[in-house]
Parts: sequence; structure tokens; C-alpha cells
Amino acid sequence: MSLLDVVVGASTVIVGGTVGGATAVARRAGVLGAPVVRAVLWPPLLAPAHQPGSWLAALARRGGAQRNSGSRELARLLDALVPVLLVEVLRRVDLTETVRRFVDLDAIVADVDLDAVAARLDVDAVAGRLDLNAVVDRLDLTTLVREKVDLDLLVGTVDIDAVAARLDVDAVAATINIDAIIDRIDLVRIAQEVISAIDLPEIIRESTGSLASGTVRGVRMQGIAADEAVGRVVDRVFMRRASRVARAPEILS
Amino acid sequence: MSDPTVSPIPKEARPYQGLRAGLVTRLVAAGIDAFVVGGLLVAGYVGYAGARFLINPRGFSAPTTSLFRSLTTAFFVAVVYMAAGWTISGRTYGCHVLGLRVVNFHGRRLRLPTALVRALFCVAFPVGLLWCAASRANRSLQDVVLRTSVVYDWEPSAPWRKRPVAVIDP
Repeated sequence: MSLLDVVVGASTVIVGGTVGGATAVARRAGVLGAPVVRAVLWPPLLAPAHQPGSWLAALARRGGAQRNSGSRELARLLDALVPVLLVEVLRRVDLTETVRRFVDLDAIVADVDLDAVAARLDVDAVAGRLDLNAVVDRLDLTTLVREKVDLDLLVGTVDIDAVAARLDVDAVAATINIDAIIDRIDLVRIAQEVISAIDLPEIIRESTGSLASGTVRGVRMQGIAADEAVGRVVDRVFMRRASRVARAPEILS
Repeated sequence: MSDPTVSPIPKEARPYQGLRAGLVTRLVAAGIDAFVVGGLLVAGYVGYAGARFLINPRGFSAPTTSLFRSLTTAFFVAVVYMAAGWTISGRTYGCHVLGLRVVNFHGRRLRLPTALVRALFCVAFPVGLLWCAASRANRSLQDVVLRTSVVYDWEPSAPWRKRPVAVIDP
């Protein structure tokens, strides 16, 4: 508690009380003295030009004009001084830090009509200044296409026949290494399969075989058939159920 | 898919290759071999007679011999003929005509001692061949004793040059 605060408080009470009291007294006095004031300022027996009220009105008019003139002068003076003062003040004050500390930017931006701002934005000009190559370089287009694009649907719309019609088959065939392909093919096995399928040995026998070779072949097959017949008869005589030859022969490895 | 191996054997005969031959085929082969032996004896006799004629044409007379000596000679010629055939290629001429081959238990050609013994056994006791009909494995008495087999083999060359002949037991 300081002495200054006590004195200020006492003065406030006194002045406030005095002003309040004076205001109350004036209000009462005004109510009671209004007729008297009218009689003093505007005596009915005097001409208006000589009435004190007229003099007071003239003084009021002159005072008002003087006040207005003074106000204009003051305004001109302030117009000259305020910018200079403001520049000097701003030079000494970090306005950015001040705004950041004391101004609620979120509340200000919340009140901004962004749609109107966007409507006034020249998108073409902005796009014209955009470095698309730099943007594309930062994108993984392969992953994007793989995840976002339905390649099966796209390929399904491709006219394969038209593509094939434009394809230079001769040029493609010219790039094929036939020797490398042939090296990977088992030609011996293919030849064996062809020879086995067409039964070339039989063709050779039929074209070059003599009567004797055909006779020998026939005798051999007849002998085999006779062997089997004798075997069946003997097996039937001995009442054997299992056949003598169980399966086809296999070559030992 | 068809068998890719190229074989000169007719397709209808391929399933029988390696199987033991039956009585009929072996009898026919034996008959051919007997005919060949007879031919060899006749050729030998003619050769011997011709040599005697060349040496002494004025005093030439057809050579004669006893039955015992003839049979002994025939026996000897037959044994040598069969043993040589079985040892060299596994087949005599009769086996060659009928597409047969004589092999041992491992499917390979007979060695000379085995071939000689088998030839002696076959010539001395030819009826042992008839056991082939009664045997479920188509084995003659000689095959049972000596563990040999006579199989169908239409290959023109001896198979043991590449691989042994398979002998299939039923």
C-alpha cells in the first residue's frame, strides 16, 4: 500500500463526490430555476436584438465557428505529423512480432471469404508459373499407375488387331537370333519323335525289304503266336490261372 | 505321346522283346540248327572226299566211316557250332532266323565254359527242351540247371554292346 494510491483514492472520492453532488445540485437547481433563467435571458419587454439570450446565441455561434476552424487546423496538423510519428514509431517497434503476439490471426482469417478470394484468383497465371517437370520428378508415377489405374480395363479397350496390322513383322523377325533359339531345341529328340511317329523303319522295310525278310518276319510272329497258344493250352491242362507273360519287357539300366 | 526312341523292330513285335521264348519257336530254331549242322557235316564230308580225290584221283573212292564215328563227329560239330554261336553273338543261325538270343542270368552273353557245357547238355539231352512247355517261365531243363534264358530279341546286333538284354520273369 503506497501513499500515492491513498491520495489518488481520496481525491477520487472527493472529486467524484463533488462532481456527483454538483451534478445533483445543478439538476435540482435547473428544475427550480428554469423559469428564472428564461426570464433573465429573454426578458419579454426587450427587443430580441437586445436580449441577453441573443447575445449569448451570437457568442455561441462565433464559438462554434472558431471551434470548427480549430478542428480543421488540428486535423491538418495531425495529417502532417501522424505519418512521420508513425514511421518513427514503427522503426523502433518489431511490428511482425507485435502482430504475432497480440493479434489473433486465426480469428481474422476465419472471417475472410476464401471463396471470393479464389474466385478472383487467376489460376492460369499461377499454373503458368508452375514447374511441372519438378512436380513430376517428385512423383513415383509407376506406383501411382499400378495402384490407381485399372490396366486390364485399359488394355481391354486397345484394338490389338489394329496394332498388329501396323506391326512390321519382317523387321521384328530380323531381330530374332534364330541360332540361339535352335541351340535351345533338342533337335535329336524331335527327330526321334518324328521318326517314331511315322514309323520310318517300317517304311524302309516296305520300300527296300525283300521277300525273304518279309517271310522271316512272318515266321517269327507266327512262332510267337504259336508259343503263346501252346502256353495257354498247357496252363489250361495244369489249371493255372496266372498267365505266363505278366508284363511288357523293360530294358535293364 | 509315342515312344521317341527309333527302333528297327516292327511295332507289333516290340512288346515281346526280352520275353523268354516258347517251345514252338525254340523247336523251329533247333531244327534249323540241326539242318545247319547236317549241312556242315555234308560239306565237311564232300571237302574231305574232294581232297582225297585231288591227292589220288586214280585210286579215289568215297570215304566211309562207321556210324559211331559219324555220330561222334556230328556231336562234336554240333557242340562247337552252338558254343561258338552262343559265345560270339549269343545266337546260332537258327536263333538268328527266329529272332532269339541265349543270355545268362544277368542278361549278358554266355562265357565259353558255360556255352560249352550248355551245348553238351543240349546235344546229349535234347528232350530237355520240352520242359519249356511245362515251365511257367518258359525255361528248358538246360536253362534251369545253368541259369540261362532264350529270349526274343529281334535286334540285329548284340545288345550287350550297349546294354544287357532284359530277362523278364512272369
